Amino acid sequence: MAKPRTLVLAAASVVVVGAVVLVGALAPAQHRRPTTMGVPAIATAPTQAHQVAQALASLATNPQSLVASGAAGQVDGQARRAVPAGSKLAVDEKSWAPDGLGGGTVLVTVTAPGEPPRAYAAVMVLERGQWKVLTTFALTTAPARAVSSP
Amino acid sequence: MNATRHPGSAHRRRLGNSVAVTAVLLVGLALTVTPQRQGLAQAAANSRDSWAKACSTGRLGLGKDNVNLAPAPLGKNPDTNPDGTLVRISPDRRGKYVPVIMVHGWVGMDTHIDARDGAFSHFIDLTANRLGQVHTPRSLIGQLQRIPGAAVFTFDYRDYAARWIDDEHVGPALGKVIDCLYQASGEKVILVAHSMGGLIARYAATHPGVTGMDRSGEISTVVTFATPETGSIAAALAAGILDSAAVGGALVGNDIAATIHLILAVCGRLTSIDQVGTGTLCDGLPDYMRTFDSDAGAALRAGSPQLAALKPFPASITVDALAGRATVAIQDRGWFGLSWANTAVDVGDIVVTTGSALHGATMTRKVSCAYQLSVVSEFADQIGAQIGLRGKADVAELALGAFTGPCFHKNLMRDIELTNEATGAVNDDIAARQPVIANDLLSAPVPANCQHKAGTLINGRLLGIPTNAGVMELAWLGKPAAEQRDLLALGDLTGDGTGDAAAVLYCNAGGVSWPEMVSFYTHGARGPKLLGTVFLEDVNLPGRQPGENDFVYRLRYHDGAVVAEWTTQQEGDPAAVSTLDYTATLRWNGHKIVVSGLTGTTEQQTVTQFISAVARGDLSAANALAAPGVAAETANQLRQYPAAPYARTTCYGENAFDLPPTVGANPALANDGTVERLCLVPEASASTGWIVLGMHHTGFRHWQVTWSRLS
Repeated sequence: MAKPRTLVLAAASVVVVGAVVLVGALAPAQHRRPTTMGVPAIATAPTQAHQVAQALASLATNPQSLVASGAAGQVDGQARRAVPAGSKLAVDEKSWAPDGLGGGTVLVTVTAPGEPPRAYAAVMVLERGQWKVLTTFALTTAPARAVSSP
Repeated sequence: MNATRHPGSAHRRRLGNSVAVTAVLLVGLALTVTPQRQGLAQAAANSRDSWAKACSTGRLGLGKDNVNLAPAPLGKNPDTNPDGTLVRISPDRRGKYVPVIMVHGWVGMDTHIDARDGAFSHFIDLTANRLGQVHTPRSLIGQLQRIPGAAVFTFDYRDYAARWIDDEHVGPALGKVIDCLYQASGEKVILVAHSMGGLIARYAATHPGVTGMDRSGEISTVVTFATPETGSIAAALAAGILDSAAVGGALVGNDIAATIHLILAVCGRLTSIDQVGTGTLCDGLPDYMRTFDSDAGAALRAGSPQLAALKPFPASITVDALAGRATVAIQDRGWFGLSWANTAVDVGDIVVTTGSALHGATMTRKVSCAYQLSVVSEFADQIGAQIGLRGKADVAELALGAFTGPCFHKNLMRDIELTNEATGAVNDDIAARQPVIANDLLSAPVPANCQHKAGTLINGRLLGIPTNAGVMELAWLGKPAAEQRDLLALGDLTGDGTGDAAAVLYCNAGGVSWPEMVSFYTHGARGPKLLGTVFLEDVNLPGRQPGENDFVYRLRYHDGAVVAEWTTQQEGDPAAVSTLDYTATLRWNGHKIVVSGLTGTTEQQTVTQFISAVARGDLSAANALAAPGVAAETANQLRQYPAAPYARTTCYGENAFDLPPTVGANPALANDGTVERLCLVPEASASTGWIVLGMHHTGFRHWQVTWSRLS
């Protein structure tokens, strides 16, 4: 007799929990306050940083694939000229700084063949699940210490 | 009747006018009503406090919304005036208060307490003047409380701020507060709003209140700081949407987006939610961005259907929109090895573009700042940024997270330029409700006349006129107080329930006086506003020619209009001798001053009554119209000319060309010097002999038969 009772209680618990979850899900969104509390992040910062670094790994081989749609007009098909073939890249995951808009900035050092290293702050945006480079800002001073490779 | 102003003589005047005397007299008039004003002030203060109770959260059922009358002075660190005294609330000239409701923005709050963490309570300490520094010991609320008649209320909806403006605790709640304060005070309210607060104000203004289908009858002015009227660029970026067309095209839009992403990323690393209120550029920005997924955040995106559904402000409401416009130049911007031109990027106030903040406003003002942003590496391999004034090398760049700029979204209410504009807008609104008083007219605008251009009086007189070129001034300058009152009429001339004024203006071009004018003034934002002017030489009965002079005897307010009495010449009169007294009603019809009921009085009526009385032997009646003995003498003369009473009496001025030669050539008759008019009573029709009556103008519409002689 105990077993059916346990099943009933378990089923009831599932219903209650489910109802709570359902009510929570269907509750009018306007009851949320405009604070940072309870707003789910798309991904945690370290995870995002890793995803960004992985995306940037293809910069030397296929830079055009990393051009954000907003930058397409300015890059105008010249992505390969921007990152010459054979360039060496270093992405500092620890420098990843989310911007609160779903993107962020990350420190990227590009060493083109025969050129000295050049450090950039790359503004990254997420487009249809893919990380893209919207713009870069060349750093006016060299990084304080060597960057790590992805 | 005022015997001291004899038409045609006392008006020959006035270069010795004394402005000081006028000022003293006006002050004296003002002092006589001071006790009454003190009583009004106390009554107004009581009513102001009673509104706060009647329109409180509990009474209106607003839940967690809070409505409070902002106190003055605060207990600690109070707002102070420039002379160091405490800011205190005072009634306006009418002894009344006008509700001014402050509405905070998203991720904000609206209180006025010692902590000074409310959206409008921070001291005004920023300026866009690159060389200037500001240390005003007042907040915007304190600044507004200095305006006589401003009763500042705070509306705090922070607990519901994530909801869109149509939520019952947001826009409709503000509507209830507006309805309540409008009904309690009998005054249209003024709204001052930051950011989304401006959209809430727009919602309330465009929805039914107690006066009609919208609240245009309850709201007079709305001042907005950085309200995203067409949406927030940051909100759009947060949603992965960037309406490039809305921010200047794809290329420009990308530059703006990139710059904002960079600033937010750096700020996000430098600050945390625990640092809200530090007053820097980064202050609160990450909070904004992380909360854009709320209902309000989604609706704030440029082009959102919620924004599209919001109606524009009713046209009768003055909307003064204030915005920040920061242009940021960042060197070495590009795409890795490709470099873009180093053009400055207009990021608005980062949250709202300038165009969105100024959209649809009646008046606008923006504060502009130009910055140079340098992207640098910092310790621990972090990307940092430093920001400084662009093109000003002697100002050191500051770390972004320590930078305080007047052009950014949360800082606009600390900027001296914008807070002055907001204060001016509120002051103008309240000032326009004040009745025009005599003292206001000392600085009234005047029309062009007497070869002088239109201008504005200073201490009652138009300055800049060379000494020998005449004068343009208030006609009462230098006059005794009783006479001043005759040359001014105070009352509601426009039908708006507030007092206006009519004043007599006097001018000449360096010679004799020109005909006087009567100008109507209503209450303007910055003093009396000229409605219109009647040039009295243009007002004449049929068959009468304009006189060379027109002198106003008296203005009197009656039933929404002005009854004007003035005197001028008839044909044959010398200049400056006035023998024709006019009375007319001057009324403002919404477009111009309309003259009606014009009547004229000359010596003719008196002489006709006099002859008639003498002819019927009523010497008592005749004596009342004549100098002593003249009636009896005329009676004797009539015995010689028995047909005279039945002939037509004709009157002439001293300079009349058509005087009969026997009269005109006789100095004892024509140029006697004691009378202004000669009336000739013929011995019979077609006569060559006359009884000549010397007529003296003793006052407005009053004549005396001074002598009677035979010719």
